[in-house]
Amino acid sequence: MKRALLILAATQLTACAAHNAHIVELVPPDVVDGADRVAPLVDEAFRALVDDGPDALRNDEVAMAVEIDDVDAAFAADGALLEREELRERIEGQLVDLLGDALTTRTVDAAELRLDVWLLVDMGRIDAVSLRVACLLTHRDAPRETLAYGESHIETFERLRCFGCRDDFFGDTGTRLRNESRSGGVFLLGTGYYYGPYHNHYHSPRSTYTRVRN
Amino acid sequence: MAPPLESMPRSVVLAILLLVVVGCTSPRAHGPAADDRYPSDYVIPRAFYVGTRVGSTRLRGDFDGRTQVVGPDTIDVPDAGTGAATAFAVGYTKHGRSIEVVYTRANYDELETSSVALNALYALRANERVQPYALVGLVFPWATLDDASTDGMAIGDADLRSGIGLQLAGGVAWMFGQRVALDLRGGYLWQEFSEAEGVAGSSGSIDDAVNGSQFELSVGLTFFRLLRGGR
Repeated sequence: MKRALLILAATQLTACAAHNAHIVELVPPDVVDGADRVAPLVDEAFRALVDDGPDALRNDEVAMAVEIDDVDAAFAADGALLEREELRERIEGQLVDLLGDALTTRTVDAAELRLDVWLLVDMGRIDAVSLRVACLLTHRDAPRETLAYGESHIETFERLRCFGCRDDFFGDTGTRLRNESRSGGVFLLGTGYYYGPYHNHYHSPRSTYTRVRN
Repeated sequence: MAPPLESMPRSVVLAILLLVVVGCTSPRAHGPAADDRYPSDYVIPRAFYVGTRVGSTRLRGDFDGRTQVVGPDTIDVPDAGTGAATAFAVGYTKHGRSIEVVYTRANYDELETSSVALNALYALRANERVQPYALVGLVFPWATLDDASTDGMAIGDADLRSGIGLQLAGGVAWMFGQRVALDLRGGYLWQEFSEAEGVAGSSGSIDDAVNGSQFELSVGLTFFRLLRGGR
């Protein structure tokens, strides 16, 4: 394994040396203190959802689905890196605590209600990572009708990376987050949320570049 | 140099240019048409023309070696410096007002730019041997940056596309009868590129488009073909 890592490191150095305009930061790229920032966002988004539909969670079974933007971000917590799946479980566990007795089942087919939760990650800016959590509650029999919606504010913090090696841009740059809330316009269209316009709305249909001045 | 045009929507810039073009090419009761009362050997009532020009051009703005375009590929926008430009034009002129389509190619050390432009020209003294003129043009540029992009492994050319620009220029033309003109022109072109493609072939839009300010000094040779009934 060490041999493989050495080869990988040497390849990166070769790319850097051949590319003479790089400014290489002396910090690990793409390591963000994400997990500690996510928890308050989950709480805020869920509280907003409860405020939006105070009766929706009463006396109903709730299924839950947690999704994290598929971007090449590493989330750090407690001095260690979290894989995306581990972070998803953390968020789910936090929501289980918040839902309390309402979470009687986690089987989607059996539950009356479905709670979809997204951790949206915006790495469109070269020097920052932005996070937002959004929650959507729908009924099993009417998945396109919104019962309640809540979202957190956008948390933005500095991202440290190798400037020239684009090591954090091999994949998607995530959801393009904007400061304005999307809780109104998206759902008034009546076109649903999950699998649908919400993601389409945020994701650029084509890969996007960012201009950076050194 | 950052002209206020950068803050204007493209549709506004386009509308202004169309107004200028229409204004420069429509018949008017005054201005150069008054030269008809003083016909000379240099008046060109109506004519098609073709022209070629060569010149020196300097490209600045984001083309100063300090700009990167980062996305699926990383693109280093090189320091363009000074390059050589060649152009070919076809146009129509009437009493000192002209409209032309121009293809221009400029070669720099580490990149090439090309453009197609729609220009409107206005000669101040269309009946004299020496004719000062002004030019405004809408430009659609694109560029190829040599070995400027990498996907982490491979290194290769990058392209900047979906460009739009506005050029302003002035010059002096020397007429050799009604058939040939030689001119000297100095101009400024502001342009921006809103799409990029790197070595991996990942094409995408650019947040906060790459822009370039271009200064050009050139000489041109134009050949006119007079049209009948154009007195």
